Amino acid sequence: MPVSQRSPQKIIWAGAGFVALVSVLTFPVLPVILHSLAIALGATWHVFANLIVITLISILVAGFFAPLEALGWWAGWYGDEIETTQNPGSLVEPFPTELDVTRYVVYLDGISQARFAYLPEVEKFLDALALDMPDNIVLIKGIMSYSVLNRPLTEDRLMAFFWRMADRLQMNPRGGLMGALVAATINIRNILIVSVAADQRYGPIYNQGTAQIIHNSLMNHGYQPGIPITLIGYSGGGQMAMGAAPYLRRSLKAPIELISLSGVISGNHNVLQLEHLYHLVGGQDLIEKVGAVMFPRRWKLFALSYWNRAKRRGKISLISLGKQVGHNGADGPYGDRALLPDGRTYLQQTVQIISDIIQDKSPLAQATQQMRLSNYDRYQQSPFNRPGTYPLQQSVDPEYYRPIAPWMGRLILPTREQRLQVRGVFLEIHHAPPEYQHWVGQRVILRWSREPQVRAYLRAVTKDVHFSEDASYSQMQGNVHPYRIDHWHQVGPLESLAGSRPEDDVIVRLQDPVVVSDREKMGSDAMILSIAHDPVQITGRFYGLVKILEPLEDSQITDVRNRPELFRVVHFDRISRQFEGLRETIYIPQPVFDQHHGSSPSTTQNITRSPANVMGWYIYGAKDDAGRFVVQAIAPRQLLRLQPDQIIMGKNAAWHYLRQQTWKDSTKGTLRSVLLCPSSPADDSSPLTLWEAGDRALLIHVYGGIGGHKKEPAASSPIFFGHFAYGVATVVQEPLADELMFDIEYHQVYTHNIDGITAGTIAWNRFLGDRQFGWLGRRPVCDLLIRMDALTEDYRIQDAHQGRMQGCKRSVLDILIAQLEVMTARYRIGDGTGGTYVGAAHNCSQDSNQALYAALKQVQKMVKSSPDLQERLRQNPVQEQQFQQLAKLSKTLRRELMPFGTARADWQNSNVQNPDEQSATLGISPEEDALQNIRMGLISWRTLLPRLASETIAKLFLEQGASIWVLRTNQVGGYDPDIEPIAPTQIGW
Amino acid sequence: MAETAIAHLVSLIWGALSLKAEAFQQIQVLPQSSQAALLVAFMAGFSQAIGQGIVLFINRVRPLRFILSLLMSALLFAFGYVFWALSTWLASILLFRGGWQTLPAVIRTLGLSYAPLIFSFSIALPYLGLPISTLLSIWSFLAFLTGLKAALGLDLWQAFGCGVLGWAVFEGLQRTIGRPLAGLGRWLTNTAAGVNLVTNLKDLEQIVARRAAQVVNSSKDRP
Repeated sequence: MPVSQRSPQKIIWAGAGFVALVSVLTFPVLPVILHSLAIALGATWHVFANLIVITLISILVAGFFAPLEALGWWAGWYGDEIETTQNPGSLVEPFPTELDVTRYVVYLDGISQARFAYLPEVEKFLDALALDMPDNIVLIKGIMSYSVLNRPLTEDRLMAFFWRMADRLQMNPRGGLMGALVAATINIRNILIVSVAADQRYGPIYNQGTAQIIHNSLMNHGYQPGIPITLIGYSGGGQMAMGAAPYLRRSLKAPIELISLSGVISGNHNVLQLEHLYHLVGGQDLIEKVGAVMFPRRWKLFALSYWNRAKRRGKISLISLGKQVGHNGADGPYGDRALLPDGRTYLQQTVQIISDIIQDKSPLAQATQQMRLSNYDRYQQSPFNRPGTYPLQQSVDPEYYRPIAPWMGRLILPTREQRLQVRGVFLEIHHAPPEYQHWVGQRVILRWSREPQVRAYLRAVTKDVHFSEDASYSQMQGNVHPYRIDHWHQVGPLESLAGSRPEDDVIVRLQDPVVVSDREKMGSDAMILSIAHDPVQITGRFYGLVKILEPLEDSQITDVRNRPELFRVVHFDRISRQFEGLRETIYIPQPVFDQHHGSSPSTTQNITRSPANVMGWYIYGAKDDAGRFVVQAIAPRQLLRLQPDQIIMGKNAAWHYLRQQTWKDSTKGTLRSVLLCPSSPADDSSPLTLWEAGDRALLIHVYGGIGGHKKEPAASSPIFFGHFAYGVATVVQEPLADELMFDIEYHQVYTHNIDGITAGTIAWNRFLGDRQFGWLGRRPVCDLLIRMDALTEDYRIQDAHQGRMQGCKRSVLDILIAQLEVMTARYRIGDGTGGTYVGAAHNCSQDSNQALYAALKQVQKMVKSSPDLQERLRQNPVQEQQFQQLAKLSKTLRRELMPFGTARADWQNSNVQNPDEQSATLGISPEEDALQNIRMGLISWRTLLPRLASETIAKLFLEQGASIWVLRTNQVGGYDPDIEPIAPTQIGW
Repeated sequence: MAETAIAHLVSLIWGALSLKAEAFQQIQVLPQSSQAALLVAFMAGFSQAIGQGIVLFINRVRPLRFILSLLMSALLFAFGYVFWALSTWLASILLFRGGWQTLPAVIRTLGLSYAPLIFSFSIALPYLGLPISTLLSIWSFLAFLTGLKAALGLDLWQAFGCGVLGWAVFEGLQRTIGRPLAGLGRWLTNTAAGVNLVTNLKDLEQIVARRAAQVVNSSKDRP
């Protein structure tokens, strides 16, 4: 086709010719055109550039003025009485007044806010959220957090007319580019305010203003102190809420959590004071990302910033809103058109997540990962360690077996859904007083009583639990952490005890007083038990007193290693006071080998030849399915009865014994009971008469190490620190032997560990006597029982509680117990981080003594603040003398506890009455801040080392005339040829 | 136009800002240069006082007193500058055995090197203020080094050493023989402000915390 082949060329030529013609024609005018074009462009550019400069300058100027409102408010330039109670926000949904409000939620809007009303999508979100939440959660909106005076931009301001226009343009976008620019001024203005709130200098002032506004708003809507608060901050509102939260917490003394929705947060506020920060961010949210870059405190580089510390401590959870969700508008979290892959709108998802968090149905996964098996897990292999082995209904011969306590049972953690109803934990009743016998085997509800002291205790220790990185790591290494309560709101001491181990196998006895209330009005048919003290962890249900005769060699051998587990025993006969009672066969199962420490927890090898067998053993346990009595724990009678092997008189001799002799004899398998009396009784009677049934003694516990062929890893260095604990020994009349005996409970401040030993009040038969979890057979132990009337005497003390004066009878020992209960409960959840670790600043010894310090401080304070007490003391010379003794002791103790004249800051601040002043520092692994840790540890160096601490404190008591009963054991029980006792290294003096 | 330093102030400041050695050489030779240096220091001081006005706010100084306090701190700043110059000069003598004649040179150099601090008012900017303040200090120190190099004919490291030692001497003086003077300065400041002005950072924080407690308590009394 020739035509078509030639035609393109023709066209090109024609075109070229046309261009040439036009060029020639226009050549003279072309420069002119170009020139004027350039001028026009230049002028436009000029105008444009000027506009930009003007804008920048105005923003800069506005920046200078941004802090002025807050500063002027602070300096009182607007007059002293600013009516901050105006416009206290409004409720999204009115709530029925007869309901008990369980939580207050306050919404702070993003930077587009100019007045109390929000953008339509925000209103939609709030309505949906209110609809989704139960009625007893109150949702407050309409707070103008971008003005320290809570004043909208659109009223009472010089520029109000302008802001009104901008707000109108923002609400109904029209007016093109110019309109959008005007509307954007609100955002710019509010961004500047956010930067004021984030500023280290202006921030404290501004944020206090915000806190004040929120405070007023809450009060206006019937807030009662203590009710938990959730702040929701969208975008810049996140920063405003974060800034205000610490001040709000200080004034309301309530737990506060913050949900930051696409929040821009600076990271230099104390996130650690929040219960938790939930940070919800979409993948396309560029503005939130700017925050992470703009604010250096959020860079990983500044590892010690509040933000990064909080992150490591598990205080911050990042929750993704999905890859495609942006910051605002149709793509933002309030978008109600765009759909997620699962078919929900962005808005629906946002409402769902926030509503779940507020209702404690946190979408976060619990830390359950474990790389290594814990000892606890391995111990579960043996049926004798599992509660299910022992039938709930059982009876024993009351002549030879007695229940350990009237109320006993197994703690069961409620599920998350049950929590709201239960408000405590379940207790599977193993034993009850006769009148409640029919409840044995049933599940009842166990709750705290509502006395003021119990409430103060709960306030001090109840925390949201979110595992820190350290806790998760420690758990992966095989330590037992309470992962079942991870990400739970407001975990109290009962829940933390019940949830302390992977299984519901915490067996406890309840301390008096136990209040029984049948059937609640709400229609639930469960019985409710209310208690005022921590349940005591125990082993077994019944106990007997026997002498072991011989293993049953020819019987069935149940142990794979060919060791006998059945033993012939003879019971004690209290008439003849000899072991002449019932002869029977009992089951003493072999414990599971402890791979971590490298030895067996206990053994029955040659147990009949143990020196302790002469006086017999208390055996603790229950019957299994076959009706055999299974011995879960043992205790040598010789140790616990009030018959010392030796009595030492005189202060110097007593101190010499304590110092030189206590740990000297460490022959394996032996035990010793020695009474030290610094002063002899007036009437030449035996010092034993001083110890009567019902008496109580303060106990200082120290244990040593496992040495020998199979020494534990911790014993490989030449120094062995050991372990320290306080406890209480009560003298009781033991019915089986019909003699006085020490009933011992420890308040174990115990870090999370591989064995599943749980911090708290632990009975002797659990902590030492348990044949699987206890230390009697493996560690040398020294318990010093300190008896001093001034310690145990009740003083009627006026206790100022929220303005009301309440008298209550308490002894110094009771106050110490209360402090120890606080400390152990804090330890169980690591102040909300889920873990505690041994370090120089925090360990069993330091923190037990921190509790002692707090108790002494409390005593001193109460004496000072109670003129009534001083008056009554004057009238009672005996009490007064005791009190003088106490005052002296308290003074010397405080001096010893703080050798550098001042207590550690964290000791000074912690206080049951003022839990919010607590600088909660538990749950930080020693590696995190090594130097600080060592420094803090050294400030209280005398209590850093268990043995030194015990000797220091015992000495002070001796000097005040207290008598001390020393109970020493060296790996008592069967004979393990591969281990040797190691005394804790003596350092100091 | 008369060939005085005051008349050329703008170009001198500009030169110092752009770290030009010529500006510092010029100020050594022009008449009225000491006045010019003092003026620069005063301006820097006033600007800095504005930038740090938050201190006055926290102390709840009344508006009129506020202005007075600004002026007073500018004056004190200029005073401090003279002492700083003295100590730097002392340092230079200690290091390089100069003589009396170098003192005016040091005074002029230091004064002009305050030029970047004229922007100190921008410390008041929220959030950006703190990094700006750091930047300005570094900038001013660089100008000072440049000036010292030019004025005393030192090399960079010598100038640096001189600056550091000068700072040490200044601190030493402040803690010893400068105490009565500092006391006088404090008295002047407090008189201008009309309250006992707290400037120490820790104490300022305490004021804020105390006030917060008061506010909360007073609001609790409300029904």
